Amino acid sequence: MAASGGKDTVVVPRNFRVLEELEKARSGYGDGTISLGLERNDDMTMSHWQAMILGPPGTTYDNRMYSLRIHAGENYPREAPAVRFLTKINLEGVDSQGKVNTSNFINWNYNCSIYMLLDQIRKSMRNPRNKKSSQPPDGATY
Amino acid sequence: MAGGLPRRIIKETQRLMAEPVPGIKAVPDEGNARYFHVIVEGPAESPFEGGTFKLELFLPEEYPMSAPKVRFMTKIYHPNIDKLGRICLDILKDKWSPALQIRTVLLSIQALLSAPNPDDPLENDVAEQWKVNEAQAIATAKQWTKMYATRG
Repeated sequence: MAASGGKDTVVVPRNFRVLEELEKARSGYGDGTISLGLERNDDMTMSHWQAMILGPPGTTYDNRMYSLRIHAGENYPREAPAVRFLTKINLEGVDSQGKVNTSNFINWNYNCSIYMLLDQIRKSMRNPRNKKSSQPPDGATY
Repeated sequence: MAGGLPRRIIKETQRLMAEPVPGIKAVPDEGNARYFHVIVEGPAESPFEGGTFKLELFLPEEYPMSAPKVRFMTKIYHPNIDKLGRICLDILKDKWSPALQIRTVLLSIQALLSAPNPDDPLENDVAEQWKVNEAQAIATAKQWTKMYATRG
């Protein structure tokens, strides 16, 4: 219940929140370096997503396309989505199986979105610690 | 009870509970008074007859200045409802008016089940099927009702 004492705190339920994100994703984000959508267009639970990140110029990730698979569970967005790289990558916060450790990239809370997390992942590619790290062959997958 | 819930929402909820729309059950979520769990019975003499359809309804912060958000959670074969359960209904979009209510919305959804409108489609292939071969479309809708909207 409303913790802020008497104020009507509006909490958007999971499914409507996810629909909002989906609609934003359909209309596209900014420069198109991140794209995002459902894996299957009849997934009524709207849990299984896929994304593509284009590596930022001036980094070792430049001109590479990274596919990711995302699972937004029942408790999303209270709980962060599970994100996994399908394309091999050497990036701090991504383990040897491609699994993303969310807390490396974002301090997750209810107001965060899948896109915000992906955006932070992409920004981290520009981080001096990452931008020159050696990479697996282009297009290799886990 | 959430302290600052607008009076209008409290009032509407009370009325919905006291005088429910026949064939429709709408219950506010325990943790979120703006979120309703809805069950709609498929109207008699429609391809959805005998089915019980789960929907969810949410009153956004701007309500009643903007429309409630509603979605089918049960799979349904209908030209105005898409694969994710989103509903193409004018009063949920540009024809919304603050004079309408949750009750009106639920009645309109029930009416949409009775009278599918393939000329104002959302789900293109379903609408197409409905126009090209209505008998086949109705048969499919009945089959889906049995498969997805009938409790075992």
